[in-house]
Amino acid sequence: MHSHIPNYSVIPLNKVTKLQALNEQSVMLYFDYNELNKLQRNEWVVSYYHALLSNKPIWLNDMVPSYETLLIEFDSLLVDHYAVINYIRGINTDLITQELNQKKLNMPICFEQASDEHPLDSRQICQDLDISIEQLKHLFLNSSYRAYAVGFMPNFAYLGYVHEQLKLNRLKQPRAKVPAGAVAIADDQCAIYPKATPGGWQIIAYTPIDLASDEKFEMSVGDEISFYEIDKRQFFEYAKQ
Amino acid sequence: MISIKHLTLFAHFVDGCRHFSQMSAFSSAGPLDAISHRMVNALVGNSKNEACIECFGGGLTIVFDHDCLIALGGWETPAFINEKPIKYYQTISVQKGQELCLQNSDSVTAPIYVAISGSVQLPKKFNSVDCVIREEGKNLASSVLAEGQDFAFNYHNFPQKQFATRSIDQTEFSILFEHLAYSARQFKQVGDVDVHLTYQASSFDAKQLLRFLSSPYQVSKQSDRMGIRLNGPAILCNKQSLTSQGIAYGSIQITGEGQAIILRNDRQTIGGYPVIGCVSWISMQRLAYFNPDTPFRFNAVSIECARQKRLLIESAFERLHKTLDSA
Repeated sequence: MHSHIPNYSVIPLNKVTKLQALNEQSVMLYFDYNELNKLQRNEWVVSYYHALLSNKPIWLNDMVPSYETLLIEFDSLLVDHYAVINYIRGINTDLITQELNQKKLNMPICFEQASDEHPLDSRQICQDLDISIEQLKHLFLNSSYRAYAVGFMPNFAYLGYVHEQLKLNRLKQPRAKVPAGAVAIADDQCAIYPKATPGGWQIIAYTPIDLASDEKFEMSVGDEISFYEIDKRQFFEYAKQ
Repeated sequence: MISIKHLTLFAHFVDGCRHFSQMSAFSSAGPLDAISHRMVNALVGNSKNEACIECFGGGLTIVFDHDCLIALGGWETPAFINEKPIKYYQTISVQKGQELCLQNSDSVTAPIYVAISGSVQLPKKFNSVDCVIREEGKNLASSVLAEGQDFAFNYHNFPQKQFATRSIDQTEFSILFEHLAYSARQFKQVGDVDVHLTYQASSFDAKQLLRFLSSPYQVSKQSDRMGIRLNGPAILCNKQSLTSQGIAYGSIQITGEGQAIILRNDRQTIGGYPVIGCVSWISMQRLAYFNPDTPFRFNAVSIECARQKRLLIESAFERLHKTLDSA
């Protein structure tokens, strides 16, 4: 299991590589520092995000943390982008506490096909990767995943990164409808679809949790998600609750 | 209560945009034309962020079950109270049981605003009644109007005679009407759209930037509250895709085929296409009234210049409130 909780005392200060003004009311912070890997960059995004959120300057209107960038929206009638950039430069990340309200979620998933309305791509995936379904399960369940971004739709978290052997292309022909609860892989990431929507990720399992409404499973950037296997009977019992 | 007797196309209640919603991947929402939205609210004595009806295509009939004040703004479409024509940008006194009727509009993309003195009683998320159909689904979006539907409404009690004479002088407050003045109804070309080159602008070579800033573009018919797709020359980027990033209001995304899309109020919060720049706030309000096939050009501006225009609008609103309050 990977540990994704950072040790701030060893990370140097100010890993913002660029502060860019986007328009009258937004700036972007980039953390694409060469010496940091993807995880470390995202940890910096989260640390600045929480630093702003915990102090919530009066001009702050919104933020979008995503992978290695942090978009900040502000009230342009109160401040201009120079004032916001100066504020950000003054953030002392040493003072950010270790407790950043990052959640650890453990989610049940079923690899069996529950019904015709729950299509799976597992058989084809195993054929393409020349692995058994047991190996697929093991490779997927043996890691925990970090939410690097939440977007596309509410509570659609881009989780990284899957095992090297599980990297998959998107479907050549996206599905007109990916059912809610689908656990799917594209490239080196996985995601769970909170609602039915068109999509091209390859489906390996389903969760009975209603991600669109269950607040206990609301995901934010920086959260750690792990999965455990349930069978078809448990899937339906869980879904009834 | 207000009752929706007839609706041809689409209308919904929209208040000032949501804050701290994009953190949870919910769009910021809000009105396409925040200037007109605020003007009509001012005319009926509402706070600037109060929910108004934003209607597309006209064809709307509303019945009021209480005396109230209303005001119309946006794309001027013939409107009547009990078959008597009424004007835009002035306070109208409505009696209990009367009907407001908007005829079908000659534009299905330009918004019409209807402010009613009081507040609609709708559930709130992020301190806003706004719903985005992409997020909720049309049937669950409580702010969307439907024929035969009633909305609980908390009417304000105003001295109607005092307020009923209020209007906004379009000469004195011309700056608040500029974004409407160059609509395609009056001019064959609607002028420039201000843009600040940012995000991945440096990943476009000089020839592409020159093409982007000198070519005529048109709003395509495939445009909605999420984004405005543009017809115009393809702009090629040296980066085909990148790590998903937050998308600011007014961002101009360039797809793999070189098509430009200006992202608006109901946009997704992150995206993986390169962005060449951001349209200024004022130009975003103007774009609400560009009809398809009307040509325009992008004009590169500094953020300072764009912000100055924003502040001038705010200053005009401060004067407007003083003028209306003393009327």
